[in-house]
Amino acid sequence: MSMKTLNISCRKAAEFMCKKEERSLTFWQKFQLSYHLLVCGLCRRYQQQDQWLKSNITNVEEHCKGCLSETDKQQILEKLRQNAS
Amino acid sequence: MFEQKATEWVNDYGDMLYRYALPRVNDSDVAKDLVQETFLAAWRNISSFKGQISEKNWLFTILKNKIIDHYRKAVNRLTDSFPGVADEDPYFEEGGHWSREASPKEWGIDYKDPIEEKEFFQVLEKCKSRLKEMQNAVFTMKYLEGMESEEICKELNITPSNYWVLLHRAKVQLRSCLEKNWFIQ
Repeated sequence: MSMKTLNISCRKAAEFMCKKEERSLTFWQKFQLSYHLLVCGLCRRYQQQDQWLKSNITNVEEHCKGCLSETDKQQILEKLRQNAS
Repeated sequence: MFEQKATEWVNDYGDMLYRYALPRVNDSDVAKDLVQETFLAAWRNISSFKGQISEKNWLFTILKNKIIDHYRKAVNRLTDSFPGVADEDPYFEEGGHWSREASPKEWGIDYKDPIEEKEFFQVLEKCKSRLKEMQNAVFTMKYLEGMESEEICKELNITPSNYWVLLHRAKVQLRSCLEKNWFIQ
């Protein structure tokens, strides 16, 4: 086994992190990813931020400030009336 | 009967449904249309609503399907804009190392803490709206709807390799945008 095949690029590592979530990595790919994370501080940071992001965006709707205007609501009601008759 | 029910729906659930749709489609007109279509579909099928789930959950189920339909239409419209695996990727150098501009910087937060500031979510919405439509579709289905890749590929009729490239790029781009517009300004 040479270092060349063991070492993957940062782009590959980020892709592997995506796939790892769904257990779509082979045993060897998991090993390559672990090794890369061991030697690459930037990708360790990326992984941390990526995980933080995933857990903080699941309920975006609770933070969304948008709302329908009165006009929007009237338009929707009008459309409903047209389709109901 | 109709007038009362329709007014009740729109007043009680209109905003809730809209706020669900908006950060998922990143466009207020599209979100409004989806809410309207949801109510129309609900009204057409009201006789089949047996009350096993709450009316609210029923409306949300319809809306979620409408959102996926919206993504599906986008795929059909945009099939030629799929990224190739070997396409240029501005966030990495040729050898696959982080490009200087995109390399992850320290955010200065405790990654165990959830975000409290409301403004963050406005920046998130803005960053999300900069994703390509297809990237936004797979990202939203995966992380906001919690769907599995297999299901997403089937719904959107895309190949797994297209899916992984779209998702990976969406994540890298979103991270970078949030870093520039929120964490390190």
